[in-house]
Amino acid sequence: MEIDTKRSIVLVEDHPTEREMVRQALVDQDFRVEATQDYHGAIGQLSKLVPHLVCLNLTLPRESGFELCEYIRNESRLRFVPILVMSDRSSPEDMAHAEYAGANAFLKKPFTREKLIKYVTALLDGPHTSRPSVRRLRRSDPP
Amino acid sequence: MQKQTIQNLNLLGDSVVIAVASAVATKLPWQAGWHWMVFLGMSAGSLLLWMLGGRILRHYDVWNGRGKRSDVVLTLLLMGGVVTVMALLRMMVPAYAAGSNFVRFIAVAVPALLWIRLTTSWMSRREVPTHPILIIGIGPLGRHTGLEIQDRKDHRRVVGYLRFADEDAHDRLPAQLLGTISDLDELLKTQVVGEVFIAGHNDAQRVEMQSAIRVLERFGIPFALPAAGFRFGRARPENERAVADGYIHYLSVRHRPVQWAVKRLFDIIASSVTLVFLGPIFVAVAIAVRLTSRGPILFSQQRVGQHGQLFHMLKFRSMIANAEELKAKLMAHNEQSGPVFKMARDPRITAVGRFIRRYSIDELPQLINVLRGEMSIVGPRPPVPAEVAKYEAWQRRRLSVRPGLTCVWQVSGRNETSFEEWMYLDMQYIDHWSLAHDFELILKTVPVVLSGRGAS
Repeated sequence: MEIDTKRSIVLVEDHPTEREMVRQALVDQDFRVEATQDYHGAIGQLSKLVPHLVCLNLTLPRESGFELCEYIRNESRLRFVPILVMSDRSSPEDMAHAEYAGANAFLKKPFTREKLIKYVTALLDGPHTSRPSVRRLRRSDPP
Repeated sequence: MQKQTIQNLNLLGDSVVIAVASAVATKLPWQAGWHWMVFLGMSAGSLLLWMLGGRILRHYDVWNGRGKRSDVVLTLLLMGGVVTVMALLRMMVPAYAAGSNFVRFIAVAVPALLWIRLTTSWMSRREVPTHPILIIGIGPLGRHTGLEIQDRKDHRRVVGYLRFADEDAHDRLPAQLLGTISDLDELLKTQVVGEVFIAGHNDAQRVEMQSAIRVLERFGIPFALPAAGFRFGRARPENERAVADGYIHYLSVRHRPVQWAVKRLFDIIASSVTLVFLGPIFVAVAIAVRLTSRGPILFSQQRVGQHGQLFHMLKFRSMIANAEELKAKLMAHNEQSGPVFKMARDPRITAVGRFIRRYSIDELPQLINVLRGEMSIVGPRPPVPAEVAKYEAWQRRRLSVRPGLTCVWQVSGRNETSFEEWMYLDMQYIDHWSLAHDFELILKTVPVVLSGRGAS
């Protein structure tokens, strides 16, 4: 049996076209992407795996991306998974609220493929700007 | 690129344009009737006039704070001046007339000069922003606000942060941390601030935010508060433009953009027309000042302009050369209460000085300050930095508007009012400002100036 060594990303985006574009961009970078369209889909995915990263939109059909951030930060299993918010709600207030809710980075829509990859790689590999706790996890307790 | 480099490029570009336009306007070397003197006279003359005018109007200054519209007006004004003088010269030297055409000169020069001016000022506006922003709060909201302002690359620049008492200092801010919110009062007395963003929480930091608002209202400095304080997953403001940057912006004066624009337009037209008409008086006074006492014709003094921005206010020199040094010795004879120095028979004033001060002719060069956008015709008189240092917080609100040549105090019996009362009158002028009131003050100023009443 083949062992999957790819890093996994859970993608939460309600817009079908955008979801597919982001998914494709990430798959091309050799990530394993679990794409879903809302809060409940995301919870379902997150119950099956602890991903290396969650990318989510703030505006979702039922519960919002803020609630999903809070859910992730309140689950001890998921607490240290970095979160990338992708949204067109990008006033300083929205960005601040995303950060309060637990997001690690904020990618303003519309964005280019290059920018997406840059943010994703920075969150996965680079030192974290806003949450040192994620770094601590990497060293002691790799997922 | 440095702003200075951009301005040098601007000057270089303009010189080339004027030379080329002169070449186009005169006959070409292989044409009949061409004369090198005509070309040389035209290009050298117009270039000289252009640079002289540019120097007076600070056309190439690194910092001028002018917008696109004033740039266009100034360029046209300068060009108009150059062409007028050149046309006068042509009437005097008929030989010059033979081989030159002003229509061709203008047709080439004006569009090219405007294009260069707008491109370079656009470049330098991107280079050094001029509207200093202070942010209170160093949490995520304050940080994102600062980053957002930086990313926009417009005329705004974050000069620093103040933190709320319950926030811990950290170094991930886009600008330096200048202290805590309790330092606001002191900071505003020393630092030029155009607007303050209060990036706080309505519940946790309510008391501190309210006290900051009180301070800012007293100083008359514009401020912005977070538009919502809540988070929204989907809802958006119905009028998105009203809170485009997530903040609601407040002013301590009434927002009247159209009237402000009219006031500025009036300033530009009135000052340039007056400068032209009073030209002969200027020349006469300049000669009188130069001949009767040692020292320069104009006296340039540092004054505090809008938002505390320093500028050089121009006057005809009415005192002897080392007047400022003598001021300290004469302080004991001060006849005005408060931080201003006034004295009826000030021994430093020259004979010509006494005359031009009596009829306020010494103040006329300030029309150049008006044209430059540092002053207005009507507005509180610009104070010297030493006076401002002694101001109480509420008196600093005088600096929230463009200073002017004349104001309520000047038409109200002048030195007979006390300093307190003077400040109070200025504040009333600011709070109840209207265009109609401005014109009324201009009309009232005329008899006061002509009668020489109350002037010192």
